[in-house]
Amino acid sequence: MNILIPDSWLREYLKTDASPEEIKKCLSLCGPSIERVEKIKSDYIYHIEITSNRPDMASVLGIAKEAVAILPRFGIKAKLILSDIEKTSKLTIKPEKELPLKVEIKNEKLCSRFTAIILSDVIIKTSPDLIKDRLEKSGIRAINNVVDISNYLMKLFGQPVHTFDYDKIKGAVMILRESRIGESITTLDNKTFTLTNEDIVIEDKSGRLIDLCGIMGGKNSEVDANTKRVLLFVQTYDPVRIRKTSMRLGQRTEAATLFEKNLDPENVLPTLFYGIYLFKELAGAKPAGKIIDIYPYPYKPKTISIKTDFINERIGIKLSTDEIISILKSLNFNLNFQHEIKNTIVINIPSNRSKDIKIKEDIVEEVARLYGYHKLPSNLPAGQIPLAKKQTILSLEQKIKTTLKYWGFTEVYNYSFISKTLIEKAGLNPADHLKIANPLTAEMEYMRTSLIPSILENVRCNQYLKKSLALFELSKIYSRKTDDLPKEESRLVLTCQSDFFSLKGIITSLFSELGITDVKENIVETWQFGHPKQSLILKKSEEVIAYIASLHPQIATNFEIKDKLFIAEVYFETMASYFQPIKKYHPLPLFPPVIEDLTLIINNETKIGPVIKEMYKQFVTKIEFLGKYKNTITLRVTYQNPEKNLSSEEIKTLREKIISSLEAKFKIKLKN
Amino acid sequence: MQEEFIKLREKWLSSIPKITNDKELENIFLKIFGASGEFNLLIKKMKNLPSEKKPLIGQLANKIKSELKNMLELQKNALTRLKLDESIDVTAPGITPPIGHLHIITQAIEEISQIFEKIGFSRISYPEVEWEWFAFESLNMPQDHPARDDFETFYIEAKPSTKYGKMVLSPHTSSGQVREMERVGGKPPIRMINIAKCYRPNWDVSHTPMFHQFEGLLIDKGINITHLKGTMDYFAKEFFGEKRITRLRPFHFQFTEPSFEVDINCGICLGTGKLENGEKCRFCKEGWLELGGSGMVHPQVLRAGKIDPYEYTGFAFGWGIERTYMMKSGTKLDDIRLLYTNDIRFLEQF
Repeated sequence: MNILIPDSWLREYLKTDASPEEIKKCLSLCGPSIERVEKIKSDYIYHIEITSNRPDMASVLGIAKEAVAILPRFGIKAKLILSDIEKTSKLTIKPEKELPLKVEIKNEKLCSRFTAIILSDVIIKTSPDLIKDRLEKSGIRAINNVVDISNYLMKLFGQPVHTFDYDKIKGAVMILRESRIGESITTLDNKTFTLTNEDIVIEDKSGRLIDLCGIMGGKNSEVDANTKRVLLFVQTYDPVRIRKTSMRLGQRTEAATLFEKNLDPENVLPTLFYGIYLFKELAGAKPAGKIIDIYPYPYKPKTISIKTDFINERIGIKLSTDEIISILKSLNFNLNFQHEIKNTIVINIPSNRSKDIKIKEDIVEEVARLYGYHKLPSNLPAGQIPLAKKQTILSLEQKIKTTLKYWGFTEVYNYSFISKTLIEKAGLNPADHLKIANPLTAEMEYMRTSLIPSILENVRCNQYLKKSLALFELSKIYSRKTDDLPKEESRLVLTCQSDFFSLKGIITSLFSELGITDVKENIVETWQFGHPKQSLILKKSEEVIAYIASLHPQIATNFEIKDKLFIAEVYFETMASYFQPIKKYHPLPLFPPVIEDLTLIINNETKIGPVIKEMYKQFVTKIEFLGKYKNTITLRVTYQNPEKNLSSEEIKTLREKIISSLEAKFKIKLKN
Repeated sequence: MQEEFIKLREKWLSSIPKITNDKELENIFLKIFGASGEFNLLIKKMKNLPSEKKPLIGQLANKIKSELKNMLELQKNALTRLKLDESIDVTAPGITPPIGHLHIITQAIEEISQIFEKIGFSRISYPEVEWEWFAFESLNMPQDHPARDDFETFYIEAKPSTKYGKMVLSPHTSSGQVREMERVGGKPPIRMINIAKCYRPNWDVSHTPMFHQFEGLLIDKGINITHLKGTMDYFAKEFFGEKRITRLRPFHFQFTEPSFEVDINCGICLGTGKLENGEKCRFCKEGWLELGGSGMVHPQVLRAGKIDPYEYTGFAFGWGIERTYMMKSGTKLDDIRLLYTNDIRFLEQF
């Protein structure tokens, strides 16, 4: 959370020569981050970020206490002045009359400390300029003395405070309890909320809800211009419930953001006392009853024993025991140093730090930050470099992405989420997908089991922006399993608009780049994204490694894709498992190859793939497809015998062997 | 015999100057002087001559040979000179190879993993769909921790595990920390870099519900705060440039103790907060930029990974790739959601 603190107010409690800039710099390095110092007329305002573990700092007094510990570390004197706070806490409350208030707490877990006091003879008026000025510089609008006192106390002590009009509490009875489902309350800001059974509320004798505890008071018990008697009300609540209520109702009041950080119950009474003092000074109010203080489990100081060696080992430098002790003392920790037990320091943790400081490492942090992280040296860790088993998939990802980039493909990154609409457009079944219980929108309800729907969306959205889109995505898909985490698997999807064979060439080149050989291809009619007569499945050792296809016309229609589109899906992990990073050496041929082009007459139904496969015989090392013209195809054949020159006679025999097997199998004839 | 040589000479003497290319010139050379070329054939015929005629014819043959060779050489030179007159319009555009574009997230991941690889960190990846135990409990974030609210973390509709709780979309790469400790069987050293997609229910100009983090984890004997500082400084210099330094500020995370916010000095004003002309630097917060969080691994987290916190210590950091890369490139995206809308006009800029 971020708070604003005026310099002038801070200096009422902090006596120091430090300039605002120095305060900003020193505190940011060793304590709370002061993000900005804003100059307003002759004053300065600190914009301070408070981490969630340090609500004790979220106040003028909290910052003053930190500053007193930190500034001397930079050679700047600083002293805490708490005389007026100490004075008020010694006030004896002598009510002239005692008005009744019956308090009942149904569940003591809801409220760790409950204090209140009735104040009478309240005169509602505007606050003095000093109060108004301080509040306004702290980002709070001054309203009237009663409201201003609450806010002033919250800013000074970091403890939210509420005030009720005592006379509006029916029957002078307060029952603090869990809310019931369906109950509703209208808060001070005129908003009405329906509650669940998790909120903390107070009802009066008539059964009305008069407070949504820790969030905002009820409209029906608010202090108004005619209020004469006020109930000053200071509590600490169950932080988890406050947060839940506040988040669920969207009421992120400053009080709620403080309460949800688990405030110190020991801070409650000083706040109440100071409140009584302010009410007397600013509103002429008098106590009209004793202080009510319900505090079932008072704080018992905790101790931590720590060796100075432990601290030094964790920080990485050697601090003297004296220095460590002086740092810890500056933070208001009571110490007991035991020389006899090997430099052990026993530290009593004050209540305001007890939620943050629980283990030895917390003490290390306190010492290290006060010493100054900026003063520590920078060392690269020595030690052994672990021999990690490389994940092939990760190392291949980059290689393949780069390859595709230089083959003209542009990478897309889609969300892992997918909508039901998109799933259905792609002909998939929503039930096969992991479903998010709390999706942000319907667009993001499921986890992808295929990258294809998203990339088709990319094509649809970009099709009028660029001619001949070539896109790819390499990402995970999530396949659900029964009673276990889903299978997360990398897939590579490519789309292009040129033609099927360019895409096929990309895939086969990719395999050869990875040293993957003996990939078997088959026509497939049942791949759901592919045109039934224009789809190919590639397998390596019976495992699917890729599909290449023209997009199924129905899916193209569903996705409103205008032009022809070709898609390939690569089972990335299967491909990676066959990756051959080490290339084998073959001795260079001593004898030259013989290369010739053969033109064959083929039947129109004959598929070229199997023909080429059939042509590989002994000494035939390469077959290249040069083209098709009417009923002929031209192929370039390379013959090579590693052991000798092939004579024209031998070539003739080889050629005849090829032709006769083609004739037998495919009824193919050599032209001419 | 003599006539035959003269005929040969005359035939070629007139045709050699007409040759217009290198290939033809080479063919002619072979036609005359090749093993079965015209000249050689005549030489072979000479053995039938009476011996008294041989010297004369021989002399003639030699003269013609050098004359023709010379002629061929001259023609070759002439052809070379001719080539100098051939011109092309070099100002016409080149034919470009097809070049696509890698997404900037990929570029950032590559750069970051290489930097950490140099100091012995290996890239490893862990589940994105994860159990609550790895995402929270093991990281010292108990059941009622605010990060576990359903407005902070995505939950999956699935039967919870009796051992590990509900299924979530991992809101940070830190979920891999204890998995990595388990992988090494509680026996460090560990130097891990885990780069993965993370998910949180935020969607505005500076948040996307899916984003990327990189998580570093180092666990060994005797690791202390100065090592974390050294590693951060090393990364800052490698990634952002030599003149950059980092600083640690106190912060709070559940799974590290102490915890730090890592700042880097601004690349524009180099940490002064002021530009050369004396104006306030608008790129940074008074000289510094926030890089991300880090800290010493919390002993509770080490215990969750079955590592003895008295024997081993470590540090960890988990930063947003998007943010870190934007800071480096100065790519000021006014809306970070552009990264995932895949508009080709955006993608082709990188």
